[in-house]
Amino acid sequence: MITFENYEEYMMMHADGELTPHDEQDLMKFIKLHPELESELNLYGQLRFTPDKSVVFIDKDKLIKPDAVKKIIAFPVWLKYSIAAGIALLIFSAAFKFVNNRKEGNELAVKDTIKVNIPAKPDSAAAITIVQNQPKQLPVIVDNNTIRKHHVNSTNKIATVLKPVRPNTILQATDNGVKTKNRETEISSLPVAVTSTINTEPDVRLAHGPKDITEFKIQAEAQAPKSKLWNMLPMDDIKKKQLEHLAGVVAEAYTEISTPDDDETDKAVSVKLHKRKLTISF
Amino acid sequence: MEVNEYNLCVREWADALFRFACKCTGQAGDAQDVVQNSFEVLWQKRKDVSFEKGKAFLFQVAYNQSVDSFRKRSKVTYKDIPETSFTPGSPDLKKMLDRALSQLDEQARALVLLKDYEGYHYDEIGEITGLTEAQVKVYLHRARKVLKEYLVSVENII
Repeated sequence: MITFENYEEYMMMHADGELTPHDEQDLMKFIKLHPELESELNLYGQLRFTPDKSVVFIDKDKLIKPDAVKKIIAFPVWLKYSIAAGIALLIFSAAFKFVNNRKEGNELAVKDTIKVNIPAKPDSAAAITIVQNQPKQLPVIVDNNTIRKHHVNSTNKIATVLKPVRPNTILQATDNGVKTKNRETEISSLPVAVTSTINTEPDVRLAHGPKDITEFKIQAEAQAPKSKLWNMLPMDDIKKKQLEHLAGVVAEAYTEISTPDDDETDKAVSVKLHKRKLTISF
Repeated sequence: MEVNEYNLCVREWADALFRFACKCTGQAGDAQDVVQNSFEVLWQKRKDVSFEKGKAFLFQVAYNQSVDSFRKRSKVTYKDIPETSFTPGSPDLKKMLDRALSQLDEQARALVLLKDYEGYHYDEIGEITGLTEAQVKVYLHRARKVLKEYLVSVENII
């Protein structure tokens, strides 16, 4: 409410531009009611100071601070594209190597696990898993007889017994009268092999009955430096090479080991090679 | 505030600051020192002051320094100019207003200049001068009344 007591305040605020539109309307109505105050309102409007634009600060340059110098290095267009291509090549190579490493890692993980399926009985399926990346220990052997005993006692359980054995130990399955030997033990039974089979490194050996185990794979097999062992034999070099070759062929090609025939002596070995039979008697 | 923004402040506000300092101190030399000191303070505190607040910061520093400078000299003396006729809106009114302005104390003068020269609102003037909005309003109205009475008295004399 504008009155004669406060109208000056409204006039000064009007001159300062601080009145709200509503107060502005009230002031105009009050001036209309009291026109003798209009000159005073105009006087307050004239009490405005306007800056003299001709007055300037002449030492502005002294206040200006130098900008940080920006070095602009101009690259030729071909250099830009070369750098871009190089970076792209680096990224591609890194990605390719990364993907390859991942693939190799997966393959190694698969190889490290070897599964041996043992379909011992029709009503039970057994599987033996040997993880080869474990630290080397004494060689273990699966006792097939024990497996059978377990099958008899419990039909649904996986029956595996792992026994630590010494190297060159031969497991004999006596239920069908067939000896089960691994390759090295067979060679070691020969006089030649007795002197040559000195592979005492720990290894994983899996012995099995010929009828029960149908499939097995052992991918990582410790190989002894045989060539040095052959050199230790007391014979000339030509015979050594021939014998080494023969032993190699036998080792790679034999499929079955059976009991000796009646006409063969206890210290003889027969080998069939390309429709020819080689018999060596001791 | 970056260096380029500081330099922009110099180009934009140095003249206005100098005019304000001239009116506050009444001496061009003092006003020059006020401007230089104000920008020196801004440069030192540029990391704490944004570009948008640069102008208000400059006027705040200039206001304080002008008041100090004015108080040191205790009084601003204006050169008397022979008065001629008084006609509202004529150049003579400007001279009359300048003389009327000298009648005000340093604080009231700064408030009037901040309002008229720079168009600051009451709250903005309060931030610059460290006063409340109500104080600004009261001091400013007192100053306007003094100016009006001075002009009316001169007019009556004439």
